[in-house]
Amino acid sequence: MTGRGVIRVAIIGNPNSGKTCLFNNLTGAHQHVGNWPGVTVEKKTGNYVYQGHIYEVIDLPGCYHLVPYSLEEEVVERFLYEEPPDVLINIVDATNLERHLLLTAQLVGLGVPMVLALNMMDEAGQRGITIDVGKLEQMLGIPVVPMVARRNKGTMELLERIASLVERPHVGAAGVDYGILVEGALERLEGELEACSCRVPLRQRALSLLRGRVVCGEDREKLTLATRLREQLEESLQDRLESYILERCYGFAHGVVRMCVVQGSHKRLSLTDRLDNYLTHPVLGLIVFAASMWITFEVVFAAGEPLTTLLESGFERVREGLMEVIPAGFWRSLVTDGVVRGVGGVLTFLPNVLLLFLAIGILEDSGYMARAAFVMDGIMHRLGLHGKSFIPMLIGFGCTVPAVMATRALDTRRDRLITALILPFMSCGARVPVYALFISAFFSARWHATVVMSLYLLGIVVAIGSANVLGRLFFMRDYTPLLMELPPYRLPSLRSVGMLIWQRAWMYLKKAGTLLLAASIMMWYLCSYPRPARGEEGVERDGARVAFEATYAARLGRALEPLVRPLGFDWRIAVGLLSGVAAKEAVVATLLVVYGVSDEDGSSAALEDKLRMDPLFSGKPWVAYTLLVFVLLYVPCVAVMVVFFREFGIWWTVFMTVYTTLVAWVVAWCVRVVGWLCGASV
Amino acid sequence: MSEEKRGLGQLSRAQEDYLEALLALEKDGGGGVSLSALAERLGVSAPSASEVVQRLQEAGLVERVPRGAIRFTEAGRARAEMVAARHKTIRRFFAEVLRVSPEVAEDDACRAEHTLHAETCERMEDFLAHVAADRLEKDNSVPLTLLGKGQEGKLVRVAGGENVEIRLAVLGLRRGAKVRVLQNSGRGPVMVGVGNARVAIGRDLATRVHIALNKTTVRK
Repeated sequence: MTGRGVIRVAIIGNPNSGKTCLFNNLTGAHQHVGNWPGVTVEKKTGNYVYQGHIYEVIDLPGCYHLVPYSLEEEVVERFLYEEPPDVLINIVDATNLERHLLLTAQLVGLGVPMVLALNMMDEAGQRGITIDVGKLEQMLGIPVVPMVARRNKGTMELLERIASLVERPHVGAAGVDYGILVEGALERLEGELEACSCRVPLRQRALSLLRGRVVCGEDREKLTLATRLREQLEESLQDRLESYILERCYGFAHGVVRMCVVQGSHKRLSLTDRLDNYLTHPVLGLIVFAASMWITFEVVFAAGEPLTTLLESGFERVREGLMEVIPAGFWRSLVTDGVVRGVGGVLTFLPNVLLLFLAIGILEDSGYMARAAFVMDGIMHRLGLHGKSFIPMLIGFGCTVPAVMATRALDTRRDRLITALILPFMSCGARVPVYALFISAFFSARWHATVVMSLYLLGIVVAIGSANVLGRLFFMRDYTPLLMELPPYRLPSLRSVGMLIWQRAWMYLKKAGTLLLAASIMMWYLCSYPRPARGEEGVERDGARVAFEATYAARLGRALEPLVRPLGFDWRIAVGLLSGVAAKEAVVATLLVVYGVSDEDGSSAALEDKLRMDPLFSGKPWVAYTLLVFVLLYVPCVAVMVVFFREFGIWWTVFMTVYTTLVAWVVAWCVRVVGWLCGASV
Repeated sequence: MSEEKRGLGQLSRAQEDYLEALLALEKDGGGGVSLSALAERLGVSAPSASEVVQRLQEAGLVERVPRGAIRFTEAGRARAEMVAARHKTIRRFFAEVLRVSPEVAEDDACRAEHTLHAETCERMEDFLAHVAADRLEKDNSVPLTLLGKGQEGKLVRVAGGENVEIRLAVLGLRRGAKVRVLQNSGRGPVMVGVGNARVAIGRDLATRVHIALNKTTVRK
């Protein structure tokens, strides 16, 4: 294994054991985020170089157990059996060693060289827990490295241990003794199994088979034998095999802990306990939750403002520069109106998106996110949702694409599907540009936060209503109850929050660079061709340039106008909305073109002026609000549809598209009627 | 060891085995049992079987009816059932508590039943009854949802199937685990501390988790 080639190292551990933190420590910025083949569970890989060798690091999804109960655990199982790494890093929480060793107990039989990363040694010390590392190494038969991943302590020693394990691979102790009965059955099965090209030891293959899992293509006959043996065992054990195996593993873990760990008599109420008294309190908790959400919005919008302005003016300067360099004509139009306008329009809202992920990163890393799910579960449950649904919904405020992916944290297809179907109603970050444009054009500054908040709330209300209706319509009320571990509160680590922001920002930018650029150019083409007759270029009529009226986009918009007329919109808005299907950010870019801001001064301030003077909106903020409601609710962007299709198939994607648009239309119409009844000019 | 304490002083090991075998054969066939059937079951010759039966007859435990069939007397049946019950207790204790294989449990029970004191057998029985009570939901446990903030107890049972049980167990919530309620507002999920971990359990699931309260907590 030494010498040439990349050495593969995988990190495995329970959720909240510090896996991602360790991964970041090992790989730094050399990371790649993708998907596991076949499923859309996030796969993180990275690499590092140590003493001239290249190591590839794979961050496996968090798991508690080797027999899969969730998609994540299935991914882990498949990985370990089908493409076992050269070295496995099992990261465990030193403050809760016995439970974390449960997984270790199952891993030692895999026949893969392994290192135990004993994380959170600082917290263990504070709690008066002493761990005899030497003894632990001796009992498990594998190297043990004490570390504090959050402070990047122990990483160097880990690298060293991994390197020497690659040099001299050994697989550690024999693993758990499952008792004479099970061991007998295992021996019997082992005798039946033929050698196979895979590196999985026979005993492990037999164990998996006995548990009903086919590891490397064992035939039906062997599975039948295994099933028969299992039934016999369960008969004589008077227990289910799985429970029995788990008990034996716990027994193993308990034995190890008893020998190696001294639990101090430390009874002081921990900070987490004290905080939880308030933060998960049935009343106070909800207040804190609402407050933290409000602060999040304030931070994202207020703090983002100066940066946005700075970027805006920067892009304007670039555009002006290009206008002077490139001669008038097709290329100038394409570059300045299509490319720079489109990408620039997206980039100016990057600060808001970054701040949003900063907030989400802090909520997640501090441990509050899990509390929010806890506090909300009572309510969510009554609405036909799951406490965990809350996490994708919260992520949905950033971007619907990762949110749809985050539904995988849920255990049943029903919960996943219902949650994913309502995610488009959670106002994503890409809609912020549209809100920002219309709100600053039609509402005075002191109302800004309130209007935005009202939109977010409306989205939540519609989502909840939909969850209830869809749950009753399509699914029996069989749901899986909430069950999750709450990590202790910690100061968010700059490094991991920074890494999250960096990754998300990169994803956002890639989207801007590819999909959005394409959409922007396409929209530019539709909005610019066919060219108008000579002499009509600068003329304006009905608040739009005559030049625009001849274009394909205008024709499409006019065809759709009857559909949006009842909502108080006209064909120009229809064009903007249509482009929003490509990407929500594109709505603003398209309106810039439609309103012909491009050739003159070209900032969004100019567009605001144009909108204010437009008879459609002039003096009618309610119409603007109706539009925002429609933008909030209608069909999500192409990227969401793609992810949705991958997760749930074509029919649910079609359903989602039709459903969201229908809901958007109905709700926007209701908003308009309410406005009319209240005497607003609509 | 004193024969009195074993309770069945007068009988030899062989005599006890004969009573048990007789009881088993009677249950299989009904009515009287022939001497040859008894000898066959015990793997002994007919004359030696006849000898032991003769002694049982003298002790007033069995009687011979016409055509040679053997039958229990009232006292004999009671004694036989006692022996059988003791055998069953020991076998169950070995198999269910000590988890030895069924064959070994049966074999060892055959031997131990003759040597163990009545007191030991009674304790075994008590223990099995306790285990059974645990399984038969007759323990004094309460659903987790009924515990208030700060109350502690031992997890005794999870209703609702193996999958649920294992999903809880991997989080540390297994049978015998010490559980402390950290938050329970009467609606919504329950937060418990187990080991050094905190786990949130949805309300429906929490009602299926049964906790035996610590005695000190009950008094409060």
